[in-house]
Amino acid sequence: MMAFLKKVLLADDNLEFCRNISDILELKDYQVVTAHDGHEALELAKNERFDLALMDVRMPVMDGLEAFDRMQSALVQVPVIMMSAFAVEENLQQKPIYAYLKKPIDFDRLMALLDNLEQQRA
Amino acid sequence: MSSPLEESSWHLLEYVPDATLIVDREGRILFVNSLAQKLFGYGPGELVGQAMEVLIPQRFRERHVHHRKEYAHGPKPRPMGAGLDLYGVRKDGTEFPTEISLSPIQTGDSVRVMAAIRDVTDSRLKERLATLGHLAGSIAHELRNPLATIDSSVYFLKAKLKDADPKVAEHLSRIKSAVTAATSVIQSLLDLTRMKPPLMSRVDVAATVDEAVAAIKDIGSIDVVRDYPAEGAFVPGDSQQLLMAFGNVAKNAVDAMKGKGRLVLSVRKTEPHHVEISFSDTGPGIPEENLDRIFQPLFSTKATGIGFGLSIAKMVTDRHEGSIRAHTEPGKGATFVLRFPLYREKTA
Repeated sequence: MMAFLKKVLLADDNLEFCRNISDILELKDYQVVTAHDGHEALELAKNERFDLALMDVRMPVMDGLEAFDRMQSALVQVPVIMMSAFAVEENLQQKPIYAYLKKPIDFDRLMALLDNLEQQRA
Repeated sequence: MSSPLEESSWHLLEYVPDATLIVDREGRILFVNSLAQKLFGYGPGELVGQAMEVLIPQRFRERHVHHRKEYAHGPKPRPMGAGLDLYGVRKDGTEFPTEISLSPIQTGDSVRVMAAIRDVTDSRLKERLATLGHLAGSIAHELRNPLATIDSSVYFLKAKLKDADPKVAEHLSRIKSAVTAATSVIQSLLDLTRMKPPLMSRVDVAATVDEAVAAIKDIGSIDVVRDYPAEGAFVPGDSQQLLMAFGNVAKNAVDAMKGKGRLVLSVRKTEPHHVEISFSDTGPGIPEENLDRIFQPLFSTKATGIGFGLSIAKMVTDRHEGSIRAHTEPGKGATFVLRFPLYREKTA
């Protein structure tokens, strides 16, 4: 059942990683829009509707945490999965994010999170 | 400039908390307290009358004589060798890092120098680990990013090439395992260098040992035997850190057996209020000369492995007021025993 095209905002400054995640999500019929810094991600989130945002914590110009905070202030309604290559992201603990994934990404977990989101929507 | 400390009162230096000695202008040892004798491994009376350079490694002696003469011209209280790594040498020739403070003292008409010496092996190791931790953090980040790219490519290719030649799948699995192995090296480096104070709760020992063993991959045809107390055993501890300690000890045992043998896991309560967890393997055992080095970071005899596993286990047990020791019979296997205080109400 292919109810609607699911749209994901993907923000990561590592271009190759970004392309790989896009390819993987497109295998699952997601439409992926990419950003390479937090500011770009914030602007996209304010102007388009996404079903999910997948965002790296550490990015140039504006980091993922600040982009997340500003999305909250701008009342952007989107579940956010944060990713980071750092083992511990202490500043994340208080934030109402949907999930945190450490790099390298556990794809089984990512897929389970996506399924879960879809079920909530169905 | 200098304070009077008459010879008749030198014996009071037995009560100071540091290894202390007094030397004359020529560097001859006039007095040593028993802490200093012990630190350098000498018996009573053996050091008095000797040149103090006997306590310094050979390669530094000449330079030390020069520094000492300079100091004698304008003695004032100060740490010795500011900015330098100083070493002492024991009677048996072993060296250790030291910190030394010097103070001139007036006795009668002459000026003597009192030196307080501290063995800083532990704090030097901690400093090194802290530096290593900082470095490890940046390296981990730099490596995790490319690993994440390789890993995501493998995931994509696996999904895309489901029906390809089985050899393709085999290669992809091999890349995936290599990425997992590299990630786990990074993780253990971070575990060792950035371990936090334990977050205490009541931990079920046997369940944690089982969880740790279940997480080991490549256990091969190793036979796992369990001997746990029926009533269970609990310790106050950080469940994640204990899992890490048990996992590393178990992994060490499994690796030693190279896919074949018997791993005996035993949990038992001991007097007065302790629990002992032992991991016995039927591997080749540990050569006698390595026994006291196996818990040091970076000590490894394995071709693949950087020697963090057992040092992580030791760090965890130290932080839980526990202990870890190894018995071995070369050729017949090794047993690692971890000992912790039992959980009692109000201890957590």
